[in-house]
Order: sequence, then C-alpha cells, then structure tokens
Amino acid sequence: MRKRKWERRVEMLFDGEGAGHDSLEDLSARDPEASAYIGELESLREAARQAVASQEITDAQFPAFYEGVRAGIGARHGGRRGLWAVASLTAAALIAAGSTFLVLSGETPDATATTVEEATTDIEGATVDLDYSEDGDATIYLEVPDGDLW
Amino acid sequence: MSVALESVYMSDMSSDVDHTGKGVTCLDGQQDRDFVERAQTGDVEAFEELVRRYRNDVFALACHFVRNRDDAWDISQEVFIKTHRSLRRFRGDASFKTWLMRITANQCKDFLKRRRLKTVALEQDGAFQQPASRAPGPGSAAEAREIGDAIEKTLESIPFKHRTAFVLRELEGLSYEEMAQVMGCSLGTVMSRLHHARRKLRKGLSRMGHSRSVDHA
Repeated sequence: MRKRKWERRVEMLFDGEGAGHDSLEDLSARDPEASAYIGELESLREAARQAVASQEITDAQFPAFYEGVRAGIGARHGGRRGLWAVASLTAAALIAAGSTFLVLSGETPDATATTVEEATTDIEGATVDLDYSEDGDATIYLEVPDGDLW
Repeated sequence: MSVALESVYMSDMSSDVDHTGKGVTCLDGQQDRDFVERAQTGDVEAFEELVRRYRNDVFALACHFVRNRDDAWDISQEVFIKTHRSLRRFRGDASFKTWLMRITANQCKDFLKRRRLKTVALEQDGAFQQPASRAPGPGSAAEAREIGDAIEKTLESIPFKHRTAFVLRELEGLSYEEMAQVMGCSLGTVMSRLHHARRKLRKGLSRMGHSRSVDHA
C-alpha cells in the first residue's frame, strides 16, 4: 500500500510544483510504481478535461452580460442614493418642525442690546468722551493732542 | 481599448484556450494593476475591461460548481457586482484573478448552500454546448463523453472543499500558491485537499469502470 506522503510528493511533481526536486520524467523512468501512479493522475486529468464543456461568454454575449452587471451596480448605488435621500428629507423635516414649534410656542428668548457704560484709552494725552443719542446709540469721541505722532 | 497580451500565468491547462475572455487571463500583472487602480478611482471603462477579461474565468468556475449555465451566468454577474463594491478594499496582495476566483468560489458555495442544489447534468440541462476541441482520447467520442459524465457525477459526490481544490487545479490551472489564496488555507492544506479529491475521484471512476487503475490506492 502506497504511503499518502509519497503520493503527494509525486502529485507535486505532476503539478509542476516540485521545483528543486526530481523531474517528473526522471522519477517516472527510475520508479515503475511512480510511473504507474503518474499514469493514473494523467488519466484523471484527461477525464476531467472530457467533462469540461465549452463554458464561455462569447464576445457577442458580453454586452448582455455586462448590462446585467451594470444594472446591478446601478441598482445598489440607486438604493444607497435612495437611503441618503430619505435621511436628508427626514433631517430637513425635523429641523423645520423644531423651528415651527419654537416660533409658534412664543418661547423666544428676550432680545438683548449692548450698552456702552464706559470708554477709556491708553494713548498718552488723549481723552475719551461718551455721548448717547435719543435713540440710545452710543458715540465715542477720542481727542488726541495736536502734533502727537502715531 | 487595445491590450497587449502576454502569457505569464497559467500552466498547460490554459495554453490552448482562445482569447474570448478565458485566454485573456494570461496578462501582465502590471496591466491588471493599472486597470484595477483606474477602476478604483471610478473609471467605468477600466472596470468594464476587467469584466471583459475575466468573465470567462469566473463563468467557467461557476459552471463547474453549479453546473447550470443560467445559474452560472447570474452568479458571474453577482460576482462582478460584488467585486465592484469591494474594489476599493482590494490591496493587490494577491493577483486580481485570484481575488476574483475567491469571490466566485464563495459565491458558489453560498448559492449551493442556499439552494441545496440538486445538480443537473450539463447535457441534460441542454444549456451547454459540446466543445468542438474536446479531445476524444484513446477511445471513441462516446467513450470520452461517458468518462466526462462519470467524473461529473463523481465530482458531485465529494465535499465542496475537495471539489474546489480539484477544479481550481485541474480545470482552472491554478498553482498551489494561488489555490491557497483562493481557498484561504495553507499550502499543506491545498495539497491535502487535492490529494483527497484525486483519491476519491479515482475510486469513483474505478467503480464506474473508467479509471486506468486504483489498485495501489
């Protein structure tokens, strides 16, 4: 009974994987048992080839084949686009609903204004004056001594 | 799009194929990488070229597993759709073809699992044509066909992983290294699976009276 290890070694050579080892021809020539086993492997390979029908997509069939691939890719992208569209619409609807709620509930925060209470300057010799109009607008006057260079 | 073809890949298993997709797999790896890189950036023409080149490798492998042309056609399309979706994740550690073969094998496995397919003989299905170049072998054409039928039946009966190993090696002509990448296992496991597949197939053929000899097995 042949050892499986031995068979695998022969199969390696038969498959052209035994680089650096015996050549298949050498092994076959000097070992009748190996020669017989190689014959079996060849028979099996030949039988496998007999089983192979012509399985191809011809050039003429390719456009139809690729169209299916293209449609599949498009469908998936389309599906993803649809998902994003739904997500965007949902987000927009939430924002709109929130805004409407705030406006209608009347709970807007009080308006605030900035009031100038005091104005100062570090410019030597300069003076600052503050004046308010009737509308409440503040005007700041800065007076710099004549001849002063900035 | 014209492409210079160089035979840099296959063993003798693919040396006699034509250039209608199956033969075009024997390409310079650099060319493949260029197309893949372009396709990764969204170049539709580059992706179409990849599909054109590898359609028959994918289709043939699918046919070997599901043994029905219509199903193989659908699976092949699905493989390329998945490939397109995953293209950005392809790093080029393995060849593009090897990567495709892996996706195809997995797709077929899923298909067979889902359907728990009761396979139909190709000739019964009527979808496959007989290859014009089929070698008659030592016997008559009828005998060759009988052997072909016998091995198909035997292939059906062995585990998927063993069948995969045999198909990838004997029908697709992949090297052990490439098979390991496709099957996601070590070289030792590849050799083991291939050995088991051959052993079972030889026994099966012997039972049907077609093998030369399995006396020593």
